[in-house]
Amino acid sequence: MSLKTLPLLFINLGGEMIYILDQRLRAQNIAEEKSRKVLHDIIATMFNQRFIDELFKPQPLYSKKAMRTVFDRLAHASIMRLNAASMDKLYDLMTMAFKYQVSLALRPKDILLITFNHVDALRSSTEEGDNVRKQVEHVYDKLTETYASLSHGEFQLIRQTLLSFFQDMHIRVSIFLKDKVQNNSGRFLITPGGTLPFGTETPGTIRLFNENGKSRSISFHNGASYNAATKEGSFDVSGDRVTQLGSNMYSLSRPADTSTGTSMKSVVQGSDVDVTSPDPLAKAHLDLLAQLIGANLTTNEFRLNLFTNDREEEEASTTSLQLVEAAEPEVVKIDASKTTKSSELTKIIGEMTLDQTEVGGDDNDLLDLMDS
Amino acid sequence: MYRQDVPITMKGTASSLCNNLSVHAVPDKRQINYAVVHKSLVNLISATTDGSSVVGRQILCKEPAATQGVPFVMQVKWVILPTRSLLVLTTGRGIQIFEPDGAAMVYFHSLSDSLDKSNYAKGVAGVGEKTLCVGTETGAILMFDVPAKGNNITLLDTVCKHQAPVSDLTSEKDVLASADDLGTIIMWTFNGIKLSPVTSIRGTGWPCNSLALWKSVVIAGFASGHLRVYNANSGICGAEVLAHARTINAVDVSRDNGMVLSVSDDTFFRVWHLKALNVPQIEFCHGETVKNSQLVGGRFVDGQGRALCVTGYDSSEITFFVRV
Repeated sequence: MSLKTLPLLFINLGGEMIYILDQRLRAQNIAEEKSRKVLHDIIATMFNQRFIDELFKPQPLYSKKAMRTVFDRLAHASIMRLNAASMDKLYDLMTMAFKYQVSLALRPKDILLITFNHVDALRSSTEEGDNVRKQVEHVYDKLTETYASLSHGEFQLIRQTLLSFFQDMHIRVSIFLKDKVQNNSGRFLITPGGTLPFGTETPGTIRLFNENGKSRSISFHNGASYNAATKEGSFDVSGDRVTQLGSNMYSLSRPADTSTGTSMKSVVQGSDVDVTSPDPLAKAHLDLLAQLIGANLTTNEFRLNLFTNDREEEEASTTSLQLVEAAEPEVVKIDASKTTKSSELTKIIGEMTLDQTEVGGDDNDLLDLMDS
Repeated sequence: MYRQDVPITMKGTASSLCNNLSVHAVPDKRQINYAVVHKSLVNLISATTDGSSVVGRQILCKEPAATQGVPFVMQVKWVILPTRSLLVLTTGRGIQIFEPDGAAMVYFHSLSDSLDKSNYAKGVAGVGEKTLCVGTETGAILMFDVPAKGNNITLLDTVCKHQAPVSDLTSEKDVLASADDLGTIIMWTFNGIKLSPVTSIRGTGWPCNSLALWKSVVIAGFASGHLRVYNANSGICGAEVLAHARTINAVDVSRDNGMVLSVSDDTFFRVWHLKALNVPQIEFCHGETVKNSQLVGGRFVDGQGRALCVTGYDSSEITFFVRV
């Protein structure tokens, strides 16, 4: 799969994260100055030049777990704190939003326009002459340098790589359910018809040629209503991207949309082989990210809630706990407290406990790395 | 004209890849096999022709020399040579050849062992009596000699004529058709030792994702949604169809009567009828949408195009349609 996919995945997920945080910071009436600091700090970390340069080197995608850890760290790069339930929800919203954009992109090359929409929005939230503005401009340079000259085929491979990252993720998101672009099983509605990809023709015609190369046309019923794209989106540093995908969907007129979401996870697990694959590059990058964020301890911390109120958040935490419990297979309970009968049994139980802690230790590898 | 039939449910969902469905009928055993890629796995399903038994399993794509994780599978396809049948998996780093039931790997060919340089394989076809051809990202076509038995598969030759990554291969006896990411199609003849180019059809820049060959007519599906048919000897285009509103991910032709199937990201599958004249012609037969499904694979189940099956991205169902 394409080794040029990671920067696009990271930048677009990061862009969605900023949209959501911006909306929640306002909804929770966090002081303007604090909000601005949070967004500024996160964008500055995300677009740190060294980190961006590393990211743009050809490499496979991170595993889902490593990608999630990166955004856990990023979200906490400033004075804002999220609890586990809010962080889960934030990440679900980000990933489903970008999955939607990649799924609905008219042609694979539009993924670059979607990326520009995200970076455009981040640039407009920075100030002229600020160091962060320079970092954002560096990202434009890297994007143009890496992607502007790619063929349709290379973009097609990038799209396929992104779609494989999002495969089997079917989390329901309220804003999509309300807009009727997602159904209750978490699938996006793919409606036939509408605008065609730029540079293509309306289906419904057969051009037949004879020996002399002369053609006659026969039409057939195409089953939907299409309209041709009138212009191509701009791939310049600024310009009309034409597509709306990748722009901020949490506008002021629909303020509560991130908070009323019942993000139901359809638990499809065990199919992801990539979770277990070693991820040395991702670890190295996480290391770098950890250094960049550094010991960002301040006394000014505040907590952000991705739900309408604290009670909902608490409920979400308990529900996810219950889900985990419910997911456990039925077990035969053995009372191990009466250990006097057999010393052999005690020994075995002792070994079993030890094993379990070792497994847990493995799981936390990446997180340990971040703390070191 | 076609009615939907009972689907087959796979263990894993279909990845978004071109030609992501291969069908292999074994009439002696009254059995039809299906193969669909799920990330680093291949879903294999064996069904009896009467549908009374459906058995599914998965092949995990491990690479003998790979130290860095599991590679993604790019394509899975059965190749039926006169002397032997094989199941071929192409990945981001190499080619894996299995016995047709997928139980044992008989050969592995590495294309890249570096993490930051990819050289994937894509496009698989058999040509002549016992030669297997596989395309690569560098535009090369590798030719392997396949013995009737055993694992002594050897690399015969490498031909490099494509300027872009090879996207698909198909064949008919001694004729091979190859396509690439810029839409260029090259026709070859095979004399038992060497492939020689016959004609080249220049692309427009949109990838040619899928090829089919029938009675010296090439059927090509493009990422622009166009379906084009050419005379395989002269390269003359007989028909250009504005067939789909998004990329065409797979085309197929029925062996006995020249029915053509095309499937697309636009959720439609369409059935066409091909006339293998000197300047080949095509007409529209049927079209249908599979709800909310970006179709990535499509194959006729039988030689007359009476039944067909399709797969869609992120769906674990193989959907069937039967002509009525």
